[in-house]
Amino acid sequence: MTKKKTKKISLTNEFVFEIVKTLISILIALGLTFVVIVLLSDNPIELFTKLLTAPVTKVRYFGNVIEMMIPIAFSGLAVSLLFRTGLFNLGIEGIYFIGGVVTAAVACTAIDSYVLHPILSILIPAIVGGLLMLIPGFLKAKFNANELVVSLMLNSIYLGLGLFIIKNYLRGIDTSAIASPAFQETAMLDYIIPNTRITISFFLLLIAVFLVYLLLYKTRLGYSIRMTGTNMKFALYSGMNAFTLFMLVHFISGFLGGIGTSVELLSLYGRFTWIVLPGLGFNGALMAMLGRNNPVGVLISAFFISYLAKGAEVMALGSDVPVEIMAIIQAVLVLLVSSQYFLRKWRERQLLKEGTANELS
Amino acid sequence: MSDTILKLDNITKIYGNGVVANKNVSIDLKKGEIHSIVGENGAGKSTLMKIIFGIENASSGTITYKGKEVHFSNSMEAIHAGIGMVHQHFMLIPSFTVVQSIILGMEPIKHGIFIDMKKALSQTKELAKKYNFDIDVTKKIADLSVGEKQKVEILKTLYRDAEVIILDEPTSVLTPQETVNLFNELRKFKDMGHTIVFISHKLNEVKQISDRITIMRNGESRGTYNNADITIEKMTDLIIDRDLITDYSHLRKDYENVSTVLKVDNLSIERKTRFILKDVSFALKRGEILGVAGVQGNGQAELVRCITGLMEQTHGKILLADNDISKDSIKQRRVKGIAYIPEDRMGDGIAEQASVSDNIISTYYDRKDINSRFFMLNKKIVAEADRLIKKFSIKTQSSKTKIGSLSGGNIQKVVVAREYNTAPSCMIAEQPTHGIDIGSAEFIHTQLIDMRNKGAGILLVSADLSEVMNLSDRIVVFYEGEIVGYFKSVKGVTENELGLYMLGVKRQTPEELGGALND
Repeated sequence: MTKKKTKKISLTNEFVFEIVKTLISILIALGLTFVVIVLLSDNPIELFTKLLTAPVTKVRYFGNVIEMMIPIAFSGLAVSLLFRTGLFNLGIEGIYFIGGVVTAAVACTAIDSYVLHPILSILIPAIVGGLLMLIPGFLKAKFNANELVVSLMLNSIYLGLGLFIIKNYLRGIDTSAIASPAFQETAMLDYIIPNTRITISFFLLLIAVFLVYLLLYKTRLGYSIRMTGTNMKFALYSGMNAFTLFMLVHFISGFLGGIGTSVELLSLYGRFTWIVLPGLGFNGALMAMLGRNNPVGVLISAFFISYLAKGAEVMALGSDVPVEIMAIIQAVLVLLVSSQYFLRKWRERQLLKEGTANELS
Repeated sequence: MSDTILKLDNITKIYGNGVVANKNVSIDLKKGEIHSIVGENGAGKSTLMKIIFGIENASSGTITYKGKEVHFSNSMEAIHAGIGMVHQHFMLIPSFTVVQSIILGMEPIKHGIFIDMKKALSQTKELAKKYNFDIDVTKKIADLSVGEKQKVEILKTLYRDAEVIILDEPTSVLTPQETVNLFNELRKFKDMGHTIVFISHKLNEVKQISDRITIMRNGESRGTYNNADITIEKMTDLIIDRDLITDYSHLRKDYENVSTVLKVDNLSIERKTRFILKDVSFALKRGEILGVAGVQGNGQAELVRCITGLMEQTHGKILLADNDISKDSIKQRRVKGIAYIPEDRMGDGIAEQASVSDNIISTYYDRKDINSRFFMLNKKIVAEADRLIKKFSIKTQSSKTKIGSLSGGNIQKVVVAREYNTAPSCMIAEQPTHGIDIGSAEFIHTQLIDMRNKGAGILLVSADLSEVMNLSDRIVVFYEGEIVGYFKSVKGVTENELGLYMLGVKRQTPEELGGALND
């Protein structure tokens, strides 16, 4: 009898604890935001309500939430795979930039097909992204080069390289800004929901989440990713091949990054206009962290953060609170969620109680 | 009592993962006594000491030191109060000299900021002289023997004016001869008024050295006794509830097919100035357990890493059933029939954060019966895990439980079950029962013998001499990277004799040693 009871409790405990911890983190972050709003504004209640509910008041707003979510969810998936393998690689940021340049190159080329052109405009940057990620992958696998340093350096290189290409080979002559020519109409993705700019990319994202989930939890590759990520020495001892694994994971990650950047540009941009790193890749690292490197978690985090960002944007319109309030929420959330020690005492006390209760019974 | 120096009152410790390590333990330590704390691995001895030393906090209960209630929140506070601890695994920096190691953190200072090395040297020399320690304080730690390193650890505590000295399993790394020395020293400290806490699971040693003995079982104290009032048999009864199997000879089946399964041929590992392994040759036959004895750090670990493919040799060959596997990957070697129970259980042996079932298939996760073309078959994996859990009587709530929450003995059973499950022809068992409870150790020993009886060759590397003696058919002894002793049979070999080879005092002729390869 008692055995069954304890089984139930401890099986769910870890999972439940993580969820409770996340929810409490969100509450604290929102609470702090509220305090700041009270300090800044004359009618805090109204503004706070706006922050929380604005995105669902209009279809267009909600559409914006989904639009914002897609690129950071893709980068989140890409980064989470790396993190899962125990690789702290932030190179997806650079992949987004250079992948965007590749997208522009393909999208500006005349291909007379409404089917083939978008497919190529997504697939080619994805493959290029995958191949480029093999550089830090190889350096890590072969020479054990620190992937964080290498990936940050590569981000800078890709920024410079991308700008060089845009300025010299892919400059739009119809604009004074540093930008590519307008994309061919055949390459652009169509809006599929009225009043929003949501495109097929939303479904691509859902498919990607599903596939990454399958990969991680159902395949041999996913198994070796998870084992390597939790204990590299153990994976080595067990006979898993770190070289192949690192190369594969980097490629898949870069591939996802390439898709993420291309669908972003083909849905919301008419031409390539970035002149600094877009930050979408770094945001992906945030999503991976908040989502515990779980594909579904990443999707939920990306939605949640986009939702709050949109809420903050609407709230800031015509009010005395700046949109930067969003930064507070994000910072507090990341701090609390990524903290190993937050609420740990509380959990230990619970365990203590449970332990003594079990002893007594 | 007035002469009580340290008193533990109702100490309870529950770890973050829900494991109850100590339950209402009360012990009083008297000034100038040698107080042993005995119990099997996992009985809560080490946790209790960590609580005294400020490394862990008690969940409830009080500690009274010299009549005052104390709460050490870190080991520094405990050290300042006069409590010293010699850990089972030494905390020394190899490139430091003895002097530097002893003064580390409490250096004598001159001119406000500089370390006064002269004073340090004279102080340490004086200290060594006062306690009659024969040790050259200018030597580097790396050049010391294990016994000497332990002396440095003890000197460290004395330098910090420790009145209570805790020694955690101090004899587990020593040869029988070194143990005798240590005991003489401990008696001297006692006469000088120090209180010694001696933690051990070796009952005859405890009986030899102690004034009083506290027995621990399952995190609880089962009473404190005067040495004179308790026999070893009584202690055993209190520690475990049943008889111990130490003699496995009745399980041993004579094996006729004596073909060689593993042959190590002139294996050497050369580093800049010295050999870690030097011309090691031996043959492991089907259906035998070949014991490798030796003080830890004499090349046994490197030998194992070479055989399993985690390390590359400089010269020499490794043959598995007459095939050269010297250049094969870890995976290839495993597929060809090598299995490996690693010494570093938590580091190499398991992924702590993963489930029991994830851990129990790691070395054969791509095997056909648990995979389809693209996917791993979760149901089959769980069934396989459940089967092994049952066969090896692994105590876990389910196969999906995180392995890190199991006890050491059960974790090791998972490792053994996994390695067993590939039906290896050659099993490398490295410290297979180190630090686990007696029940699990016994179980694992029986499994190893069972594998031997079924025709596997088992290389048993262990620092625990009695384990080597009880399980092995033949024995080789390692000293400084070489085989210095070979025994065709364990009959008539004493632990003392092995100890002499382990210390490098005795050494056989090349002809005698050749038996390891040719017998």
